[in-house]
Amino acid sequence: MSRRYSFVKTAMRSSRPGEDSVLESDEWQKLEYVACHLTGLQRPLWCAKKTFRSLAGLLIVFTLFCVWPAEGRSASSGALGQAPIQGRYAEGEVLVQVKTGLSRGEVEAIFARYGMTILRAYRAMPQLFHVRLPEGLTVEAAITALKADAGVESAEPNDLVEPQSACPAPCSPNDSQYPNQWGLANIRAEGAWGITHGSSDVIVAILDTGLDRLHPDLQDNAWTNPADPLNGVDDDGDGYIDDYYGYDATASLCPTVPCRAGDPMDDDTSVQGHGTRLAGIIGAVGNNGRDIAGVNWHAKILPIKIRREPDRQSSLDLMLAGFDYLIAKRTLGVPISVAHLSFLVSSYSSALQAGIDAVRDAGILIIWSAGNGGENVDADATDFYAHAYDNVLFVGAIDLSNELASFSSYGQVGVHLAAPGVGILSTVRSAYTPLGQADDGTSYSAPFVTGVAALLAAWNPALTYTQLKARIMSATTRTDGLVGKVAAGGRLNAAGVFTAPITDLTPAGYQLARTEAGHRYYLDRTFTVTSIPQGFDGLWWVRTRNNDKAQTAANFLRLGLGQEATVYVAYDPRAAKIPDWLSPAQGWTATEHAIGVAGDPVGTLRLYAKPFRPSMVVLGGNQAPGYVNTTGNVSNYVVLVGFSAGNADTDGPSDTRLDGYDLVKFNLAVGSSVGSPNWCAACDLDTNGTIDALDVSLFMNNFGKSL
Amino acid sequence: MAVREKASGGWTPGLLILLFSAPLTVVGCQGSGSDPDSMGQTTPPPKNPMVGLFAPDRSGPGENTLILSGATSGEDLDLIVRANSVSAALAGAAFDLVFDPENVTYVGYSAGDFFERAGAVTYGVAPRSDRLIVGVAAGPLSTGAGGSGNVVTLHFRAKATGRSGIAFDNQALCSVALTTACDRQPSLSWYGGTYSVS
Repeated sequence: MSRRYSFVKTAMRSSRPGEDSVLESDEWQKLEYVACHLTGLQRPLWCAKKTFRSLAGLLIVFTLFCVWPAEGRSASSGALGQAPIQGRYAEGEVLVQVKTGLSRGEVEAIFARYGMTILRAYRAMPQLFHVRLPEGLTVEAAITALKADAGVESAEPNDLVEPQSACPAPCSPNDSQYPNQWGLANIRAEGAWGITHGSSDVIVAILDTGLDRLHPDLQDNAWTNPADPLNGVDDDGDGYIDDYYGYDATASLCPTVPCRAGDPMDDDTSVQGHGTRLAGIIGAVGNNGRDIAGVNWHAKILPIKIRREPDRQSSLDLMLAGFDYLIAKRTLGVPISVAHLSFLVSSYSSALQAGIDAVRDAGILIIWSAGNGGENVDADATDFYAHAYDNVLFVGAIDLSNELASFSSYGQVGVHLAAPGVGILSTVRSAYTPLGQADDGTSYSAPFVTGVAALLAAWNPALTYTQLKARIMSATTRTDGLVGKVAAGGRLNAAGVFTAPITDLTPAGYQLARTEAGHRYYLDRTFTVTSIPQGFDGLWWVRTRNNDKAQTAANFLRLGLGQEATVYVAYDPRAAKIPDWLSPAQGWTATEHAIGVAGDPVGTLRLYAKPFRPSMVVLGGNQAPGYVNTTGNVSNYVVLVGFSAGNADTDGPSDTRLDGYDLVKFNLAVGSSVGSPNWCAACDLDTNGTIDALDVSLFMNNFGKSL
Repeated sequence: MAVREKASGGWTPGLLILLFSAPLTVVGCQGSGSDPDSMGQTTPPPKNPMVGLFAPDRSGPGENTLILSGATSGEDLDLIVRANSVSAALAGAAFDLVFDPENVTYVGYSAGDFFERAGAVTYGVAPRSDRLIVGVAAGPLSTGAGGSGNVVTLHFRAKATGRSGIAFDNQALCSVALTTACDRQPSLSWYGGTYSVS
């Protein structure tokens, strides 16, 4: 917070001169002086002297006005040959530096001569004063007069300092269709672009119908493999000959020979190039004056073709072949961070699970569309999406109202988050102008997430897939229409991923979700939460596996915190003795709170709490040393994360409590996002870039408390 | 403004009111009953109800003032924080209300109409040992509140006989024109009062 706020608060706090204030007694007199003029001559003797000086000042002001051309009183015009003041500045006030050696009385006399009042004196800069001008005196006139005063060293306008843009130029890209890309605005892409536009060192693999690598808005971002040029030889020795433009796993099915496995051109006719559309959303060249901007302006797109006309069907074999190629390139050191898939797999497959796990072991995050069946994927245990995969984020679609799109599949466990998927413009195959029509589908919502993951990888190439997952999930913007529909209860927030509140989570298969009554709390059980203590709804929740209840390691669960938080462990009270890592000796407190659960015979899980600084929090296993069980079954714990509202204290280091002042400031910011006029960074308690309902809940639960 | 009154050392309306209210307090004490022990009683006498009186530091509303006015009913004290002829468009009010916890105890609060005329309002009242931390905030879309009205009513109950001041502290009013800071309103004055229980 600025000194200004501090001054205001302190001045109002002080009840008399010399008490807890930056104002000296004579400054209090100045306030009295102002009050005297404002309220009239209520104290004749004291005010009389002031009034005399005031009249003198007004006389000078009057003189200034008389000699001042009317047009010169405009803030934007020059005066008496003086160059116009550049930029924006506060009307009715100036900053004045007086000559050294002047007594306080002499300084006051200077300002009194012009009818000016001191708004602020700076302790560390005793010659500098922030001064309010009498009504009617322009800034230019005041500066001219002050500069002519023998006691004044300098005078200048109080320039308004623009808030630093979260998006350095070019902020809004000049792509012709950018204004029609509502999805980019929805995910707050400009906020992310203030940090990075992406990097050509990050490679995104798209397993789909291929890529029209000649598209003018894509060709600069189309990956090529200089290690294996088109010469009929497997130069890079990975088993794929001439994979210069990528890989076509369907080449053997090609009806018109020859099809080259190293040139995965998009041949889809159903939507003018499904793979090319995905590529455009993820990584169309940004700010090139044409077509669209990708979420990531510079990432390289590596097409792996696993779907072919005439019907665009694929198979588990083709998918696995695609994974095989992906892993081969990664093994060669090609920096593939993210793989993208936008098609539906209906049933769980252990073969596909093996392929996904192999991609995981290569360190690659997979972003996968949730499907357009409009169904609850959690409802059928045999569904592909009903299983938790360590390195996959499944993405549903929202419409322009931030509601789950009618066609989008969903599931509070099986679908992680949502992104725009209705009316999505993108690049299309073999039709470079005009731009292809907009299309709908989770196929087009998932690429937004892929593009953001690639932005994160550009920002920090060292991020692991678990870290990418945690950041993307915990940065989501909580959205009413998605609560209970997707694990995050929210939608993609590109701007928030860089300051995400949760930065990592392992075991990798554990899932971040929002606490809501009625939700499942284990990945591998259908037990549901029946009650949550007041103020705990909407907190982050780590869905664990109940099958992990026999873990005995002292270091089992790792949770990266990007900011101060209170971690709550919901532990089964049937244990005769809790493990040592959860004991008071380790800083944990048994709270009076519990969550109610159904399905699990325990009925309630007791909440233990411990505050943490931003750090890697390590929790032991459910049955780590110290644990004693005499009652039979003891369920595994789950974890809740509540972020402190202490950092919403906006009135400076002198006050570390959340009080009415903070409430007023906070309330003004509710609903704002990064870059909007009312934005208050300190109020964004969950650091998702929006002052939303969760922030309000956290703030009000902590109102009146001190750090 | 309160500062000027303290600096001048002159008679303030609040002091005049206190002086005026003193006889009333004495009268109240005289009516509190005689010493039961002196009458040889062995059983506790029925407890006489406490009676409270609130004397505001400022009796008249004035312009650009926030005053504390009190309505008492037996042991109950309702303190109304009232804004009078406020010319600024305000987004909210923040203050602590300092009281003697030996004298009164906080019970609750009721919404006022001053900010509510300008839209949805958020109230924050956090009781602490010797004070209430209070915030009343208009919503982000509010055009601001001005004029006169009740900001909030704070309900107390008498705890023990005695007299103590009830004063504002940490007070600030926030202009709706400044969306990132509470703007000091130098022309606004805050007035507390004194509560006597007999």
